[in-house]
Amino acid sequence: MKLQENVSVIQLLALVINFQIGSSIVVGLAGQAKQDAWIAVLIATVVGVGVAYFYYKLLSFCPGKNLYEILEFSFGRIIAVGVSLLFIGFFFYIAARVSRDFAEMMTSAILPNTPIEAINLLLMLLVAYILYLGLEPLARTAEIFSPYIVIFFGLLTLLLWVSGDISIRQVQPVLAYGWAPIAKTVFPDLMSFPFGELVVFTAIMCYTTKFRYAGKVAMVGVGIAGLLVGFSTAMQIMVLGVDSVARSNFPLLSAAREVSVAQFIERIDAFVVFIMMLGIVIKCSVYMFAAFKGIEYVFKMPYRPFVFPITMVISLFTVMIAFNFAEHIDEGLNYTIPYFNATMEYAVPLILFVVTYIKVRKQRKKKGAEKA
Amino acid sequence: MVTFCFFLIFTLLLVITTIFDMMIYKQTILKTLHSLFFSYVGAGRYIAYMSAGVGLICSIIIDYRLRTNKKAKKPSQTDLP
Repeated sequence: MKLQENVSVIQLLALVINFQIGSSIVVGLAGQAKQDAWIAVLIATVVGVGVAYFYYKLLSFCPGKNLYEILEFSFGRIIAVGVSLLFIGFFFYIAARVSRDFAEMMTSAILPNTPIEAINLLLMLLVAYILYLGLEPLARTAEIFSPYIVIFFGLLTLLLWVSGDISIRQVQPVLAYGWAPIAKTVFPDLMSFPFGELVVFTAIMCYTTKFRYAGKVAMVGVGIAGLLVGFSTAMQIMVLGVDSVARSNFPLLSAAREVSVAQFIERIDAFVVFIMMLGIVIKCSVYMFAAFKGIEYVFKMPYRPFVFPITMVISLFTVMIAFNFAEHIDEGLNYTIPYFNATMEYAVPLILFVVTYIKVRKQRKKKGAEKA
Repeated sequence: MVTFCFFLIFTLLLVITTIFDMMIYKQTILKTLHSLFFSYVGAGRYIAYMSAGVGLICSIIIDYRLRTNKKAKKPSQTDLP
């Protein structure tokens, strides 16, 4: 018996916001655009809203079907299984990278004496437990904890402002280098990470209770997340300055450490770590859920027995993907985003979109002719 | 099936990681694989190897249990009237 899980539109909204915030808030975005990074993020958000609509439109051709089932509808079972394996590999690989982002942040800034492998293992055990319980508990977790993100962001901004660390001059002059660096940052960097990553929702959006609203909700979610990330980027620059942001591995955490109100309220890293931790847990879980749905499709059996063993493999690869943080970031920016992300987030879905559109149109024409 | 999937995902991720490492370090496939498994093996990395090992043992146990459950559901020839 196939277990049908559903998420409400509000839960989908919470998932999209947390997913988008995820690792983008950990490592910071759009460094190439210097003090105009926040403009690049806001422009990319507008494009990201369009990307969310594109993925929704792809799903709306075959309502109730997820990415893998649409692949089968368009290409047949054999090709669908092959492409599904590619997507499964992609989703697991990115989940490992996301987990690595978080573990690097923890080991370098919060728990310097703890081995990175131990942190990864604990994170993966948590993700395995969430996934074993299913999509609904994951969505409820996102729904319950999302308001805290906004509250902590607000509190962080307020404390930074009160302690006099925010200087608007740091983002001036606006557009000093023109539009070229912004355009270069938006295409392809920001388009692939974090906005193209919405491709993962093609395996999840179909489980929304009111699917007809899923597209609008995803678009609103991307908009809210984009505004939050854009605001965070601007705040990092206003507090630290462009050079310090470029040098810092985790700029938001560095900015939070600047807070000092009356030499009494200090070290409010916990707020930032909470925001990052929630984002990473949700993002990792969403990626792995989408991959497990693929495994469910390929092996034609429920995904739950696979959860623990496969999560342990991901835990191993979280360590193996890079020897150190420098390699991890270099691999992400120069190899994963331009080659792997761009292919799996845009090229394959675009081909799928065209083929599905043609096939659905043919079917409708055939049905119309039969009726006549 | 779970054990097969375990090795399938392991191989998939290994291929992806090896390709990227080959591109970064401009090394041969054998050298990349060697450095992936044997470089910097410290106490921490053994935690990761151990967790993967536990995952493999679990997958074998899960497969065994799935098979016995399947067999128990099917009525055997001797049970037939």
